[in-house]
Amino acid sequence: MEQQAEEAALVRRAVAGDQSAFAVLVQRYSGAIFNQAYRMLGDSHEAEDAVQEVMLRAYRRLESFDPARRFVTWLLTIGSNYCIDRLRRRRLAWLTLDDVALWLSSPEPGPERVALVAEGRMAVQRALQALPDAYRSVTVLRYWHDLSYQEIAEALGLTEATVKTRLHRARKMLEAAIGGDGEIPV
Amino acid sequence: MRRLDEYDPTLDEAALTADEAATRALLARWGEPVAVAPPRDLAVRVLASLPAERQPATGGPARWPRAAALLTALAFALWVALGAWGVLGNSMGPARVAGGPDGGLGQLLLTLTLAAKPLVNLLAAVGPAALLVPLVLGAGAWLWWRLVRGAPLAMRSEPGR
Repeated sequence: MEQQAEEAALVRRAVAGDQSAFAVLVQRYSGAIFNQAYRMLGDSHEAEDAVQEVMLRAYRRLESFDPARRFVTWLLTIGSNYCIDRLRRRRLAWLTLDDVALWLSSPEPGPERVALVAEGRMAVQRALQALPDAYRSVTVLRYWHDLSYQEIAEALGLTEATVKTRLHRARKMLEAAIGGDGEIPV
Repeated sequence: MRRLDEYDPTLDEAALTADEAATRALLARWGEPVAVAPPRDLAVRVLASLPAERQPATGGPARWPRAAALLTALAFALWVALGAWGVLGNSMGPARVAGGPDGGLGQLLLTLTLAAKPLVNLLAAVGPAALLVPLVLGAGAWLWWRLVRGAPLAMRSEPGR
């Protein structure tokens, strides 16, 4: 509650023109938005773009922030909308620049990727990417950001019952994808 | 999305609690959920990209093009309707409704009716084939726009570069 009041004060200062107040919020929540976008979009470059866009949108719409809500929930709402819009557009992009740039060699996987694969986390990431967008967004907000059912419902404009149904079905799909004998699914 | 959200009668509070625990256990087996480390300078870059002067989103500029497009389409439809009235009925008809062709508004309506008549005649002569041209042009423009706008410019990679 104390943090919520502090963030509301920061937002008021930012609305009044104090950019340093907004900088505190950016420092605090860039990581959360990056994580949400990375889980939703499955690509770190796109996730970075998402953070920039979400923060810019938030900065422009600070007046519409409701201090009764948590600031991070509000940011995640903007993030969800951005990611879902981005995924919709991606489905329409049948021909990407990558498809035509055949002469470009793909970058070598770095040690972090190897480590992630070794730890099986890529399996979870793949399973997440295989979920329908609607299920993925509730799953990410629930398990990676610990939002309540009510907060998720508010963030995505759904009823709590729908959130619960989606989480239930997402769990079944995750179970089918990675709930086997512990072997990393390819 | 309706089918995706179809109500599940077996989903009561107990099932939900069990679900929650099962999902957390499943994720924990794979070392998740964990926060992926963002690039170290991400916040700095985000702050650098913010405009120095904050311009609140008013919704005005975004709404205006749509409203303008709607108004233009409506005006065009009305113009064609006037032409159709002139072709199918009497060219003076719309002007008479406005008090006759001597008045300012009547003169304007008469001019618009006469100007639209060739277009209506052309459409009537060529038939539905004439409608295909703008349709194909529009579809081509839309397709081009989606391909260019949606094409990701960044190569895929892992976080924490």
